Amino acid sequence: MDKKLETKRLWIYLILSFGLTWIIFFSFIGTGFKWDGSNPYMESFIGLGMLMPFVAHILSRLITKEGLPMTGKDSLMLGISFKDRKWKYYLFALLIPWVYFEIMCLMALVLVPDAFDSNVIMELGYGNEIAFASPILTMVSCTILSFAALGEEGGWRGYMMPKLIKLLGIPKAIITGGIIWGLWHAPLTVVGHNFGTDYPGFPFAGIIIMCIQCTLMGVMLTYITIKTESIWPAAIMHAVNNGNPSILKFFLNEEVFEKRFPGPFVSYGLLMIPMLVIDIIIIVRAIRRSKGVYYYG
Amino acid sequence: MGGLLYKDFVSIDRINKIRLTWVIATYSILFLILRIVFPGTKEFQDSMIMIEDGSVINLFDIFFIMAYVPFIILPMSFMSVSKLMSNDEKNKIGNYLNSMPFDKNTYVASKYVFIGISAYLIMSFGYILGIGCIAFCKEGLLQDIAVMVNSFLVSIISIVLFLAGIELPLYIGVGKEKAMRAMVVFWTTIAFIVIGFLMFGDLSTVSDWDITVFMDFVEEHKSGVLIFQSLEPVIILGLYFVSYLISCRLYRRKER
Repeated sequence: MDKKLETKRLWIYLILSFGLTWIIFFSFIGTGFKWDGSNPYMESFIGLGMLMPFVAHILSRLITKEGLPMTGKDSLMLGISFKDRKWKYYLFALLIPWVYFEIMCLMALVLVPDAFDSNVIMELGYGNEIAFASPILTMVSCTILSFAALGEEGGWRGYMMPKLIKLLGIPKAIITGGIIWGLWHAPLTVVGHNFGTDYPGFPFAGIIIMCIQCTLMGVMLTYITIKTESIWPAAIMHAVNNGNPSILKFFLNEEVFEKRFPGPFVSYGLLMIPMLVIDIIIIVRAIRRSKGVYYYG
Repeated sequence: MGGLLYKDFVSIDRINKIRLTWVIATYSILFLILRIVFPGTKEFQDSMIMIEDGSVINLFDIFFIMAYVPFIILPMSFMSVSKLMSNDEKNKIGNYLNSMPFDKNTYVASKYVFIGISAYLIMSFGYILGIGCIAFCKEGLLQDIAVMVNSFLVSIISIVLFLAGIELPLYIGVGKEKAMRAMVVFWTTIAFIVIGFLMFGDLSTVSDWDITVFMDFVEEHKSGVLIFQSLEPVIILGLYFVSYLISCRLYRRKER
């Protein structure tokens, strides 16, 4: 492997990916925009930005003349195969975000029992049935509408991670990839998309938390991408993760919780605990089974 | 399977693909120039109009939202079952397949997968256009309409997939000629029902129809609409799979 060439290709990708996305994000921020809750206008801008890493991937391949193979080694990894029990990684991608979001909400309710509120769902204008059906509904709708997450994963897991793994090896690649991915979110973090703007250490603390969270998620996403040799399960998991599937979140009064633990650090810390546990399980299993031999794409 | 999918992609009329690419490119460039580069400048003051509720909207918003619907319909030609099957009959693909080491189900599966992939791509394309419309629309009625069209996109594509699930076993089981005749009978019946309604039905139900009533209904029954929207594609995909199983059976019987 020509390390110099691979590094050059990676830089081309990163410049394109950050450049294209940040043009969209900064044109948004330039109009004096602040994130004050989810609405179609804001979500649309983010949706457009999320597509850019995949666009950057394709442009990078055209510039570097790597070609656009759909499947196989050094490809776009767009193939789908359920052979050799690969279907279980698709199931993992669907279910695991539900597991860690549910554990997060459960821990929040254990920490602040007063935050239990059965009226949260009513205030959102939905019936109770939605609360119990929500994980399934989120999984279905997010899988069907996974194109935006596919846009991100097509770039990060489809191009950046294979290059980083070739250059640095898996452990360093996951940490570096997580930091890069977290920094890519920085313009949104600065306008308050992930954690709001009212917290100590704003905005740098938010950007650091985002990098940590991206690293923790990166372990799971990279693992399922390697195992299936496809970016689809990562796209599905990313999309479901963005949908926050959980039943208990409809019984958790965030205002009461935040009165006890102001700022985003505790709630995001609670999310990171189950993520970290899952990551440790994955890493231990991967080391045991592969005996240090990895294959990507 | 990959080869069969590529064959289907190539067999779709090349001229249509080029035309479609040109239309999309022109639309995107127009959109960028008119709506993003010069939003609300002096030159474009004339494009602002006041609507009934007193709010001011940009005519270009209407243009792009109205153009949005045909832009979703245009690529649906990729999902045309009759074209796919006609091309196979014309090119005598059956003889070629018999000489290849394919499982009999692979050919049938390739048709279903091709239409499934097309559906996902068209839906994603529609959503990307939709979020473009919403992102550059002023808040208000037009944005609400764009959001509504976008939110029903999955349901619309599901219906198209459902129809493909009916057409495919017909084409595979009884052949192109009879299947086309059956589809003509089906659509003619639908047309007669519509014409019958227009001639003898109570047209006031249509003329008095107010879109805001529909939007209010959606707002009032949020839970039901959400469950329907989320589960409809799953049910349709289930039926699509049943249709695949039927098609496999019919194909095996035909080839015996």
